[in-house]
Amino acid sequence: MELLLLAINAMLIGNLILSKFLGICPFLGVSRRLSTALGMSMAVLFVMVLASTVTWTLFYSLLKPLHLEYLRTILFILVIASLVQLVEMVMQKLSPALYEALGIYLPLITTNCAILGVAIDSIEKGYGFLPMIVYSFFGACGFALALLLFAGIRERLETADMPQSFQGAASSLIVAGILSLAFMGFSGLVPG
Amino acid sequence: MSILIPILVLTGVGVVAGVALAYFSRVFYVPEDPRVDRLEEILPGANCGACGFAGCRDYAKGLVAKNGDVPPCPVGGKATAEKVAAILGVAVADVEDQVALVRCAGTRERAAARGTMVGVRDCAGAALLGSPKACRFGCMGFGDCGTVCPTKAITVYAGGVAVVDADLCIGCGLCVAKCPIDCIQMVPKSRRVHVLCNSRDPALVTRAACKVGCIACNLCTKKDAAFVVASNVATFTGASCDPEACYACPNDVIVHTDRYGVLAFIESAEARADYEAEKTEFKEKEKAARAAARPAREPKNAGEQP
Repeated sequence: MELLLLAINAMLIGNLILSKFLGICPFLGVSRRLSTALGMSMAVLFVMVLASTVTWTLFYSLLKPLHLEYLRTILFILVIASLVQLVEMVMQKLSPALYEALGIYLPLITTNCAILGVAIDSIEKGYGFLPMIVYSFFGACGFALALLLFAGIRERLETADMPQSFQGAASSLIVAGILSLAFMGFSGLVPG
Repeated sequence: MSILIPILVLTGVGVVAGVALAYFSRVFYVPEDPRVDRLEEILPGANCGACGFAGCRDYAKGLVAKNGDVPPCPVGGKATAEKVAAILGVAVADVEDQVALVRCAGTRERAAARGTMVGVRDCAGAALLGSPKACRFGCMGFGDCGTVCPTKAITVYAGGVAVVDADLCIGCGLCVAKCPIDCIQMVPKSRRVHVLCNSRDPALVTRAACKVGCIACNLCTKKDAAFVVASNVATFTGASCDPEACYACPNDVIVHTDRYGVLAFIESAEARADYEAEKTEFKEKEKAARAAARPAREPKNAGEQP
């Protein structure tokens, strides 16, 4: 039950993009087309769970025993960057199709703040191993949900007749704001 | 001493990650077609994206994947197309070097003004409110095209019209994409004759807006079939023509670059005066020829009269 609540919380109430301001860059950058948004979402889902698992393990097996908690940020960045590189290499060798599908998004999310944000967040909140997995997985699902919704809207906006001053970035940001407003409605889902 | 522990931990993790990456990059090495590297070497390397690919390396990959069946590199032109064909072992595609051309000669003295641009002086901003010129299609002269030009080949001169230096232009087409009123066009580098007007307005509107506008009178098409009139504006579609065909234009919008450079034709008063003189001389000659042709008929009539 607690894990279910955690999942809903990670995905809807505390949505990474729309209520925590994390990962805004790919949210605006790769939402021009639904298909690329889907590719990006899958890449984020994959890397986020993997990165959180590795950094969580590293934190509790290396940093905590040595009382080096303050090295968290720099070490996580280092580990996530090399991890993504490694995943990219493995994928290129073993599954060229998936490598082509994820394309440029895989290296791009190396520097995505949402990845680092979730890794640090699950440490900060003191999650155990299983809650951490649930948190990162559904956090990424929330990211995907927001990104896909946004991409779908932007695809339609592209052909919509709009006043000239609203066209382009302005309308996209307004839509992002309205989406965020809609997600605020989820905050009543879980009491407390 | 305790400072050493974090240093060691950080260095340790870094070294382990680095060594692991180096090791796995060998284990998971994916051999790439060697032609991609060779193709990348001969491509211009400007990474301008004019071909539609994300940079020159991506274009090289596309060339290899489709075995040359992709649009040619617009920057490299013919020379690059030949090298690409040699590496891929396919026939050379028929490409011609392209350059950009600003199709407007409407300097401040020649084109009527509609207003003055106040605020941010760039074309993108001006286009939101409509051109400061009376002509909707003429160059606004704020030089957005020059700012995107990778070789600084476009300059806005004193007359307020952007002019492309064809020697510096690499044909990437970035300015064409940037111009909010589509005043710039890609033309073959070998083309010697240009109609320097872009106005698709009907003749009356064009004439009211600019002294050097194309009014689609079709006089040039009668002189040379390479002139084509469409959407109220003439365009030269061939490579070159008799310079005298250009004198047919009543509004002096056709430039023959064997005679005058595009820049001189737009900006230089001497070149203009020179052109006027030649045109008048040609018109006189034409008139004389017509006069000479007429009396030849009269004696014949005179002979039949009695």
